[in-house]
Amino acid sequence: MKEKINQAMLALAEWTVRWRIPIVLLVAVLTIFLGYYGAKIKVDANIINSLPDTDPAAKLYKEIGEKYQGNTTGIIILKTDNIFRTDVLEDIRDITDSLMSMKGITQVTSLTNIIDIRTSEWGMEVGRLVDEYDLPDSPDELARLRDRVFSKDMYRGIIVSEDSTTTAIIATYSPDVPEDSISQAIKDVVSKIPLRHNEKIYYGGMPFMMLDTSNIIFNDLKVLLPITTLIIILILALGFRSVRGVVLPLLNVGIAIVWTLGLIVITGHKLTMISDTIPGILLALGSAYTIHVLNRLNEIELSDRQKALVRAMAFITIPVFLAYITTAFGFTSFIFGSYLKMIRDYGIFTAIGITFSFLLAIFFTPAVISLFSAYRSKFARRPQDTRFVNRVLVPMSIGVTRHPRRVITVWGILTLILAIGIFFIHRQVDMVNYFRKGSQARVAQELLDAKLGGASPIYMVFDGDVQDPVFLKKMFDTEKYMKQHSQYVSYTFSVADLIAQMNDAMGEGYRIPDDRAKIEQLWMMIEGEDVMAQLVSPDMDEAVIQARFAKVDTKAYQDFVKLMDDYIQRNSSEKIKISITGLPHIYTHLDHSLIVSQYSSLTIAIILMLIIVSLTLWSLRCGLMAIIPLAVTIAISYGFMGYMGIPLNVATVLVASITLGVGIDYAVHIVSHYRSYRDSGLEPIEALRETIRTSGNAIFINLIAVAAGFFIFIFSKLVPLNQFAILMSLSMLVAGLSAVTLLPAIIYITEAKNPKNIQQ
Amino acid sequence: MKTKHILLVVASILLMLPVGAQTADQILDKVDQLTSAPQDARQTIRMTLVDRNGRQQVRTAMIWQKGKNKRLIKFTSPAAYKGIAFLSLPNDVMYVYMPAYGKERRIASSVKNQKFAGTDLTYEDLQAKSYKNKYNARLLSKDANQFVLELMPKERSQYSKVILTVNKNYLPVKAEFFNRGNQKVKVLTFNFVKSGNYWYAKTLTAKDLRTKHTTKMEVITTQFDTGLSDNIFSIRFMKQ
Repeated sequence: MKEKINQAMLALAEWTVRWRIPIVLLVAVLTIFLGYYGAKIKVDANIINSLPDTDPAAKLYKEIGEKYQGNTTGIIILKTDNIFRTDVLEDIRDITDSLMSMKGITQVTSLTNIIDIRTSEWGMEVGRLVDEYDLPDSPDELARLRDRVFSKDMYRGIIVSEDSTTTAIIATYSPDVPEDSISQAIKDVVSKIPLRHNEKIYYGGMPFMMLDTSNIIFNDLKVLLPITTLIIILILALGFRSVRGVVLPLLNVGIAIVWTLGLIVITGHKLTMISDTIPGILLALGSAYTIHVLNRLNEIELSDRQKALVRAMAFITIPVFLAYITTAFGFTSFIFGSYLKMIRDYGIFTAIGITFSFLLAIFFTPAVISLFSAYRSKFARRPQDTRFVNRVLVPMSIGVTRHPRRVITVWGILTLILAIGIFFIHRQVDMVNYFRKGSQARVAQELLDAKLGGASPIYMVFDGDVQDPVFLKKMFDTEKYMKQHSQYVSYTFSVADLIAQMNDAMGEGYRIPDDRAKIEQLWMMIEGEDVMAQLVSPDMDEAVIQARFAKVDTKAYQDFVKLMDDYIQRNSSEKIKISITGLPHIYTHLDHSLIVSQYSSLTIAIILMLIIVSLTLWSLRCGLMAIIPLAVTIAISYGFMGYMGIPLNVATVLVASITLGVGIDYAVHIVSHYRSYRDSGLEPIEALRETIRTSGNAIFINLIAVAAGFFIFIFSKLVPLNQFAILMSLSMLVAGLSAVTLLPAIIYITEAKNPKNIQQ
Repeated sequence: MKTKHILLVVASILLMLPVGAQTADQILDKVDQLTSAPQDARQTIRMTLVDRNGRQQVRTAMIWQKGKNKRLIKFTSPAAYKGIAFLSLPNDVMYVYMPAYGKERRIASSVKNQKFAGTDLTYEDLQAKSYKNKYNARLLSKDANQFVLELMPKERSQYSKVILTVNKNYLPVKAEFFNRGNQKVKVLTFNFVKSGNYWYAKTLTAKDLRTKHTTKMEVITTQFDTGLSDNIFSIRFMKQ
């Protein structure tokens, strides 16, 4: 069997060398083709798109976008000493006007154009809060406007803050134009308006956060990727001390990155906040395969270098394949284990990228070497024991084999103490937490939360006969119910409000009239008003309550969702069907799917690893043993997360499976090296010491490169990526350490009991 | 010699300018004369409202108009709107009457840019003022069939300008309205016909370019100079 595989590998290596020209040409053509598409890569930072289309909250949210001229609202916040000044009002009007005339904006609501229904002794007025053609300019008029604003819930603390310093201009985005381009255009347009009173402008709400996220993602690619490349170059240069040793792994990974990005574009996908890390991860992980190939080639002392290459390839293909397949499976666990599209796509494309790196290492690298005769002229000897090996690994190997029980006990205690931290892990799904404290997005959100009733929209849809008094009363009562829970809801607005206000203006009180004819006739007064398109469906078979959530808090979202779901259960009927969506629901679904993703991807990853490692080592016991250091690693990393207050979010949820996929290689390394030393006749203690010395060195070099690749994201401006960077680096370190200390200790004790356990 | 030529050219340009301005005003005068010739009018109209998705609503109404300043509009269908009336009196005084409430209410006049009863016409569009009173005109182009005028509002307006196309008979064909951002926001197209001595817009189509909503107003019957009494333009008649 082994002989047959060896023969096949040799044949494959010979084939590769023979077909080197077509292989290099094919890779070049593919790279140009996919590079053309890869250059067009776009970013999708919309968190709602990460939920599957079948998700009820996401589906309804998107439907509202289509039916009611957009569900996305960007908020331009003006801050100054006093909003009620003529020059400030003029600025608000200019911004409102400019936004109104922009493509991609369906509606703008601000102090200077918001609808107002007034009652007076002589009649009624369905008009605007201020006359935009004749703005208040005397102290009296300004004071009157201020009194009017503060007399209505609809304006107070929503359009103008209660301290009169802040006002919101709310732009509704058309669903037909990409959000990022509208947000950017708004910023461009507003920045060009000369402000009369030097107001400070902030941009808040989801679309601006999405724009900031996209910009950061592109910036990460532009800045962090070169830094990662430099670090990898440094590590490669130190390791190989040759141009070829730097160029080939980099070329390989560069091509794999180009292919992956090209494939993302061709398949109609976009980069997300987490797939932003794919190039960095490919750099760190993918270069390892070419390094293995080059290392092996260097070790073969044959003067016919082409033969040496074939032999090296024949030998290394299987080990590299095993390293590749475990890592790829680690990422594959996201495909089957996640509800979130964002995470699933991440799993797919990282696995594909890793596959590209592997294929390139096996075919392209030898083809290039033989085509350009890039064999190293002087083959290097296997590096002799370095200072690191002498000072660290040798004492470590002695210690582990002398006190295996102590080693296990120390790891056990450490794991137990840290694992308690797992219970302190909290979850965070809100977009505002992507940003660092003090960043524009964070400041804008804090302003909105503190002064303008928050920025998270809630939509409550009522299905039925919209002009029926019973229907409108149900809406009216629902709004009252929502307003009673002011800890959650800061603002509600619907057509029922307008009808009640007009009924009041007709002298019959602020309520829904009982007579349908009255409703129909009042309706005529507001028909065609811009705001109606956002409140009533074009077919008049649905109306919506627009509300805003008062704060950003996962727990509050959950409580509110439960409260409203119960309310709907009690009040929805065949005649008036009520449904709800909005950011609290979207975030609650995201939150729930994070937990599901975590459990299922981890379970799938463990099962896959166990199967593949057991098959590789042809022993279930060895497979289980190899999993132990990783289980310890994951427990420690997640415990650390809990103690440090790092939340589970779309990025940190990835840590466990990636750790398994990457870290399992270390364990496999240890077990297989140990077995080969035992096969060559060494006693267990000697075999273990030798294993720790040789494998330990390789493992540490690899983990430094990989951890560095991950650690770079500490410089990203996106907080979840910083947290991901810390956790991944820590995990790699612990995975490596436990593989060279804990695993040998376990092997030693198991072997001591029954020496046959570990042998093939 | 050369200088002489240049002077001649400059002189002719200078001479042409006032001629152009004068012509524009003259054209507008003629338009006003033709379109507001009758003393009073009594019409039944049909309004067809079409939204961006092609959904249609039809309403009918009767209109009484006397001079420039008095107008009563009473809806006759659909059933839900039957009897709803809008009365406009001089000095921007306006009332609405809702039969379901049995009450009239005065409507504030500060809301000129407000849409009238779900149509694409605002209260400003419906103002019965002459073009000459509302706008300063400039002739943009002319040919054998039509004149194109640029109208700039004299008083505060929701529009920054109007481009009015007038046919060779001095009847408006098309009016394009621009907002303060100088974007075209609305287009009115007219179809004038003659009845007796008077020209009137048999159909008027208003298209809101932003909402893609259209209103078509058709005159079904029309009578001119019937000697409408002032009593018609009263709250009492409005409620009848």
